[in-house]
Amino acid sequence: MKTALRHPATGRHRLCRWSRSTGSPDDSPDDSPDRPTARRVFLAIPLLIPLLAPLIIPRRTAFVTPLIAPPRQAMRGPAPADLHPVERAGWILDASDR
Amino acid sequence: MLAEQITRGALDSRLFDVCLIGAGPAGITLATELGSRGQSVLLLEAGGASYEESSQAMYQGEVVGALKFALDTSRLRYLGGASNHWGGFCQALDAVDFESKVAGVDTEWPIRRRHLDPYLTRAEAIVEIPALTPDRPYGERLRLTTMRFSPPVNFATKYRGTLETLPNVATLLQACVVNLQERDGAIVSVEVTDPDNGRHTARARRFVLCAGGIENSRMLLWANQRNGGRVVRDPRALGRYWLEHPHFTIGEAFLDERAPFVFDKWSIAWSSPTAQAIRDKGALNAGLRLTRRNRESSRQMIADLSCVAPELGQWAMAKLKRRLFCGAMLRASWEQAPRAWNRVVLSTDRDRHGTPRAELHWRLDDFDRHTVASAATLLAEEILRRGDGRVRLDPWVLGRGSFPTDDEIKGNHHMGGTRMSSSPATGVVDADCKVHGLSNLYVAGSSVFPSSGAANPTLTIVQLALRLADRLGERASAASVL
Repeated sequence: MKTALRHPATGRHRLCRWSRSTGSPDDSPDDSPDRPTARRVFLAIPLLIPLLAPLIIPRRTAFVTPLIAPPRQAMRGPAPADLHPVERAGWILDASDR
Repeated sequence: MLAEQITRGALDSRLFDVCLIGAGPAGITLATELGSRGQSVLLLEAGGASYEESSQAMYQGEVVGALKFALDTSRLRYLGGASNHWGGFCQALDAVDFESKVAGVDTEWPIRRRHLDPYLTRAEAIVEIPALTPDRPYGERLRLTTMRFSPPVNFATKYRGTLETLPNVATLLQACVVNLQERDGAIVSVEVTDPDNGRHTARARRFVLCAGGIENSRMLLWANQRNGGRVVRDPRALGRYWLEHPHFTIGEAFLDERAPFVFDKWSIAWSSPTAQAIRDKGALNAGLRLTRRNRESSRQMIADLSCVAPELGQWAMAKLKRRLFCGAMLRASWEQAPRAWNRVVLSTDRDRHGTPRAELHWRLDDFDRHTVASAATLLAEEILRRGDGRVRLDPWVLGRGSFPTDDEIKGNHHMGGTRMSSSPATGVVDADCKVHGLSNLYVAGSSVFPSSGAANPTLTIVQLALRLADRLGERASAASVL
């Protein structure tokens, strides 16, 4: 990851604010002890999201789209007036369940 | 004081305030309560300080009926009694459990839940559980209940030290009561055997049977026979209306992770019908348990669903893969209808002391199926209505086939047999747990339950024991004043 964040020509860190602001390799304190690590991490978050999304996005949110559309009424249930429970092989289903 | 064995002459000269027969949760609770109030207590335990095969064999007996279980493994005969293998599950009975629910099914107690509520906090402390929390509604006809877990408390381990140090409590082990002696409407003494079959006599002002949901009936049946019917003068209910909590797997479910079920440390989410739903359905109470399944068995369940609803199954499988759904096994334990034919009787076979063994006649009937099917259908339809998933019920729940014989079957909750009733025609003890027609014989434990509700019984046993301790304390004070 660290290698990928370096500029292939200059070897400077892509996310170093010093290299961005001055363009000078001398200003890049890439290995200095006081480098702005927090900012780098902050700026790296957008890049990490695609990799970490399956792990960190709550599974119940709308971000995760079902692979296929839910059958009618399956997701949150039919309105009480429309509920028609039927039993098929022991399963208590709505009549609209296919 | 605690003695491993009776010494000759130790009992002969003493008159105790209270003699407790049986050192399980009820007996030990009573002993510590009464002992701490200054009453002189004799606590008699038929078994020893630890498990012994020869002692346990005294509990052998036959179960007559289609559903078999072993009487010598579902209870324990040594100090601490059944708390030595207790799972620690605690719930209080619901208010509706004390009432009549269905015409023709006698579930009514002569007391109400409000009579036990004052003892709840102390009982919770004894079994070491946090305070019970109110149920939460799940739709209009179901409620999500909470099970509390005792560590579990082993009453022998927890209270042995107390029994040893309380100066006015004498605990005798390997002291098996084989007879009660009645005179002029009171029990004057009990006959006790030691392991060498030596006979001793213990005298007290009041006696309490705390020997468990089968032994209390057995002891009274045998004593009644030996005393010419003068112990339980109207024996019509004696040994009868025996109860268990039937335990069966009744189906399975897949659930949306957003469903409001709360899974506890055993991965179980608990629910029950509301009091109104119980009445509307003309059924009794039931406890439903959704137990989380692993993904493989959940996948298999949804594959089965696909056979009857392919689109729904395909969608559910996709949700399962994304962990938006979970699978669950659906189990139930429920309130059995009190029936006179479910009863403890004396066997022709006898134990080494010459006492007839217990023979238990127990079966489930169509009303029991109606109770569990009603509750299960309520849950299935509510889950469907809310879109929280789908439920499959086993064929026997839906009226196709008989009860399975290879399931857990029971909860080792032995109840009834000496039921509480305001009338001696329909019960053995009154609302104060005193045997009808006798002035000084009481019964403690789940054998006094006229009906069982769906809650695990230990917490209620402790509540009843605390209440009985109060009653015995009141009567002792009255006697001393007189």
